[in-house]
Amino acid sequence: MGSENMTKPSNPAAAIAAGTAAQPAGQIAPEPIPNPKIQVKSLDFYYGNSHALKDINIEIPNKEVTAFFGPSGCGKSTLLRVLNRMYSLYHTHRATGTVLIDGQDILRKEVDVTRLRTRVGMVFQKPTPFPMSIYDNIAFGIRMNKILPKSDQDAKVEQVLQEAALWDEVKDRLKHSAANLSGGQQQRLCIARSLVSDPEVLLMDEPCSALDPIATAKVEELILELRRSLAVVVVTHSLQQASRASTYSVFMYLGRVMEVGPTERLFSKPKSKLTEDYLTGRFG
Amino acid sequence: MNVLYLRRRITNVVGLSLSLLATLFTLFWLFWILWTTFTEGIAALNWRVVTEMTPPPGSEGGLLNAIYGSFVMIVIAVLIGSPTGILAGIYLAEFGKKGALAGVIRFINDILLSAPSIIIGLFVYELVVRPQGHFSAWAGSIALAIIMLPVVIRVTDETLRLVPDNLREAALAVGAPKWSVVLQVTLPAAVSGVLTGVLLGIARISGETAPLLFTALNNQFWSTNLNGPMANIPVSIFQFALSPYEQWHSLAWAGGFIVTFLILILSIVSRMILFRK
Repeated sequence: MGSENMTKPSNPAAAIAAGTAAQPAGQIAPEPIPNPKIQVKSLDFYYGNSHALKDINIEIPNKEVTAFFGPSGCGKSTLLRVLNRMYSLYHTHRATGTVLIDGQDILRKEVDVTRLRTRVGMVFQKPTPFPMSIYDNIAFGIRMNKILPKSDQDAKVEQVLQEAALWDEVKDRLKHSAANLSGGQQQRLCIARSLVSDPEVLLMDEPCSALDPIATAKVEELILELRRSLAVVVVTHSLQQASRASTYSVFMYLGRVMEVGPTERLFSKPKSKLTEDYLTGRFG
Repeated sequence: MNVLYLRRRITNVVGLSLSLLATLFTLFWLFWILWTTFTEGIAALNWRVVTEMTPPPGSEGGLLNAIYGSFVMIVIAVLIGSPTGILAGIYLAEFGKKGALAGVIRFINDILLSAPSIIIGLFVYELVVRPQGHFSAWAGSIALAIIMLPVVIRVTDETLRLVPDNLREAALAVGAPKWSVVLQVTLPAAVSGVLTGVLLGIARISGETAPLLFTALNNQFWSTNLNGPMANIPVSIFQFALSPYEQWHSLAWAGGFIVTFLILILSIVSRMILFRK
């Protein structure tokens, strides 16, 4: 299936792994999408000397859930961390190429990363509640953006906790330490916190991998809900999650984007042999 | 098969006994020292110890001026040493990280941590006492602050580095600037460790004798003048223990008891803070 697109139909995975494929086998050129929120062009990324992302070219649609999936070490989290410049925290991490958000290149030196991060929120694999009360966890994020009168701040805290479907569970103990919440509640708290700045993009790095199935279902439901107002990008190692909770999918392998497309199409009719092999569990 | 099993059991018993003996050997001396300090110290304790000044040779007296002097110099040393140490620790853990400068600072700090305290006493003698022309409580405080500094730096740096990077990234991800991440997120997350560092620093300096001998010296009279020599417990113990007078010996025991007890309490409190979570 889809073999007309392949330059080396014999064993594309091995060719890429060996680094022998000049035009990587099994790579499907992405189709342009109308009105993309994020455009990544010829992006390369290095951890010191290790070349983690190779010539990434993708477009990420607005108001959709885009899932990055692929085997461990394929660069999906790395790509996510480029989108809000989180990698800039570490001296040895380096990105070249262009990443446009609404047409503006965020990789340029003069970009104010603090402002960028209020536009592009992020949720991490492990829940990361700050060492303060539930209320203050949210209020911290609010204060980083603007100073509001107390009543407006209270309203905003309630609003984002409602959006994250957490309000009913915590409304009676807002002053309690966030560390006492369950893992799933902590993760929804972190999602709520990332919504206070009204971000345009929300990045989620395996947001459910530390959660039990019920908490996972809640967070997935929330992810699909969030897509009404912003572009969501989710990294996942779970194929089921990618197929359930996303509308657009990106398959990555060994630092390259192999195939991009609407989730339904990509999971039912993958164009690349490599994607098909991965989806059917033949490797990875 | 049975022989092999027996041999393993014997090896196990021998190994276990050797390590147990080594532990008992170490604890024996420790408990001997503590036991002597406590029995002799408690026998020497009376109201005069905390109400009267250090006596002239051969007569009765107390340690009031020495207790006051030690207290004042430790407080000043903490006021100088802990903010400086905490800020330096923050630089190392949050800004210097694995850079070359931070590496050099950590290395030098470790040397300072194990530097003999008499060297630091001589250093402050040259730095403060000689230019001033006389011994002073200020010089004593500065010497103690320098001894405390590396302890606070080391502990602050290490506890801050134990805070997961995740938490820093999460705070940056809501658009927090770096200083606010440190002040509001990572430092509060590490506060118990930092506090422990300060308490360990106090425990370290409260028994130091050599640096005070060269800086604050001692004072037989009540003095609150920071620019003059000031009495303190460690140097009093040193002088009284070497003297030929029975009353002075007993005051030295009382002083030793007070210092040991203080350090013991500080260690227990800092451990309780550290392991509370």
